[in-house]
Amino acid sequence: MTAYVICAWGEAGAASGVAGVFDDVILTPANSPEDVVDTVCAGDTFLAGIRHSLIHGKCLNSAVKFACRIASEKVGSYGYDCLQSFHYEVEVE
Amino acid sequence: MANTDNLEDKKLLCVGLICLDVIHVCNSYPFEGTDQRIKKMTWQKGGNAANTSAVLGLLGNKVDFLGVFPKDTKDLFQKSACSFVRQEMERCGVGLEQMSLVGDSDLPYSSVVINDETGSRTILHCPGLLREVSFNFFQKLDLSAYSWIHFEGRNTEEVVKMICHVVKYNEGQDEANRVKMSVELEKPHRRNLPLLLPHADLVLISQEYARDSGYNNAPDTVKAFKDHVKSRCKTTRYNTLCLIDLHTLLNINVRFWYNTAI
Repeated sequence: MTAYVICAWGEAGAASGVAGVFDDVILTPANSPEDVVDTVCAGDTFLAGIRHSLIHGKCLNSAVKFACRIASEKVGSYGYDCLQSFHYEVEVE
Repeated sequence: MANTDNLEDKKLLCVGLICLDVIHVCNSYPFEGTDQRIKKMTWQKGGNAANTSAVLGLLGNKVDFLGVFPKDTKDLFQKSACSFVRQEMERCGVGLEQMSLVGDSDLPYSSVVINDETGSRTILHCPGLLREVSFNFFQKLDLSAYSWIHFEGRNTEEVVKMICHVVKYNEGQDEANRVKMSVELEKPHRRNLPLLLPHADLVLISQEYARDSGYNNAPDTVKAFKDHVKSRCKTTRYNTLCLIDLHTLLNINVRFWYNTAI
């Protein structure tokens, strides 16, 4: 696995790229919840989404999409209990 | 990723902070000197590494958390807070056997003000008698139990030694059994965080950190970092070169003890 670099920028989405490779940086749009109610733990949830996807063999692009989706679910609800009912399977392209 | 069947038996690990978050949900951001009602107040377990491991647990992964946790505290508030966050972590399915139990330490806590109008959060953090995970404690871990270790961007001097320890372990492993590593650059005031970059398989950069490094959007940040983050640098000299490069690029005060830590 080559080194991945990811930067999440709230509502502007998340950029990702592969270190040492000249490929373009991909910008993945953020999934906006109807109402932003609680951003505590949003970044940690995003990171967990990335690792969860990569460990299940997903590509970087799919991992970032999944992370944006789960982070959006998180900021749309108080606390993190909402994630228990989140679709556990990694999103299929 | 190669050989995922093999990886399924292995666990994930998150190294970093655990704390108590005292959450206040306010209708609007409070004014100084006023007495006002708020919508909701609750306790929540906090700390970046603790939160990430909890979400990984909720998603059904086998995950351990490694952080310093108070041992035999007599203070009633500390005792209640420790019991609460421990139960929260267990409820999320996170393994706590690897925690570093330290006497004469406090569980840090944060008061978090959520403005219900905007969803923004403002954090007041009280580290108390905070201890950090030592390299000596980390090196007792059985690395063969893990497929991936995440290091929160803090406690850099010790974490650099931990990363070097994993690099050495990986040199004796085949590709499928190598432990992957991720790091997070979040807090701009921690000036030596780029020292965590050279061996990371995954680097996450926060908006706050990117802005402080002079970037105004996510793609520019990734472009800048991805050309200068080298994975798997084998020689000491190469590592030093990487860091000099980063120094120039990011105007970061690079310290050369890293060179001797390899």
